[in-house]
Amino acid sequence: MAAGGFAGALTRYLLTGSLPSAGAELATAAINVGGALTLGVLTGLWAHGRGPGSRTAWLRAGLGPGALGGFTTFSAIAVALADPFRPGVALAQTLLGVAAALLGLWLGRLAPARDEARP
Amino acid sequence: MSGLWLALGVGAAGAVGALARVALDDAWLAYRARRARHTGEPGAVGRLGALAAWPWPLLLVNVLGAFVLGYVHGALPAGSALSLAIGAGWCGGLTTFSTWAVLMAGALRERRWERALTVLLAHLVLGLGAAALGLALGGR
Repeated sequence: MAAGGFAGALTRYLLTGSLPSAGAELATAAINVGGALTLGVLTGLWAHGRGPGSRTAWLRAGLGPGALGGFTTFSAIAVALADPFRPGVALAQTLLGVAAALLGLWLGRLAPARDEARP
Repeated sequence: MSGLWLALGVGAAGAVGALARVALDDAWLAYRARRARHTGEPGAVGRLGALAAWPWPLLLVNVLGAFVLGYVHGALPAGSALSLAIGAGWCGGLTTFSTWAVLMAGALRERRWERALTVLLAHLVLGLGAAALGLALGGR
């Protein structure tokens, strides 16, 4: 978990840290939407007992809430879009993230279920 | 401070933030399980049960992280080591976008429209509000 959070936060910092604020905002949006897509795929796979860590709880926690949770961020977009106040951009970015997560869940569930994972 | 040490510090602060987020979520789950055992009632029955099953821990960490990052932006010099460690590191690790998006996507898949909409609006309204409040209190 901690290793995942460390790697996620470090990667985000290295990707955005050297950019000017407008570029960092765009990069953060891309990180968030990409992270939502990836977590959607993983969650869809795990629902079928597939994918990395499907039988190992600590690996799931490390990859999901750890690495992807630490990689994506809510605080940065909240602050960037609170000043100047742009609620429309925040909503658009969120809906894009939800669409990416839906696509990810759908993609992840395309994998055939493992027999023992079926209820 | 050299760039490498700063990056490692940001990563470590991010790990602490991510651990705090998951610990809060686990504690809330454990508390609800304990209560359900004591009262002998299943966890999510009725209006109150639905309220208890709402993802409060996620809202709390995202709103708290937005407030702290806003305050740091206002109060600390931009690009200083402390502001990067607290902001990009701790706040970034504490708050999360991917879990939030997947949670809403899952609610949509299960046709729980009310859950998806309340989670969306609560985070946007309270998150932007907390960020604005943090910026204002931080002197920005």
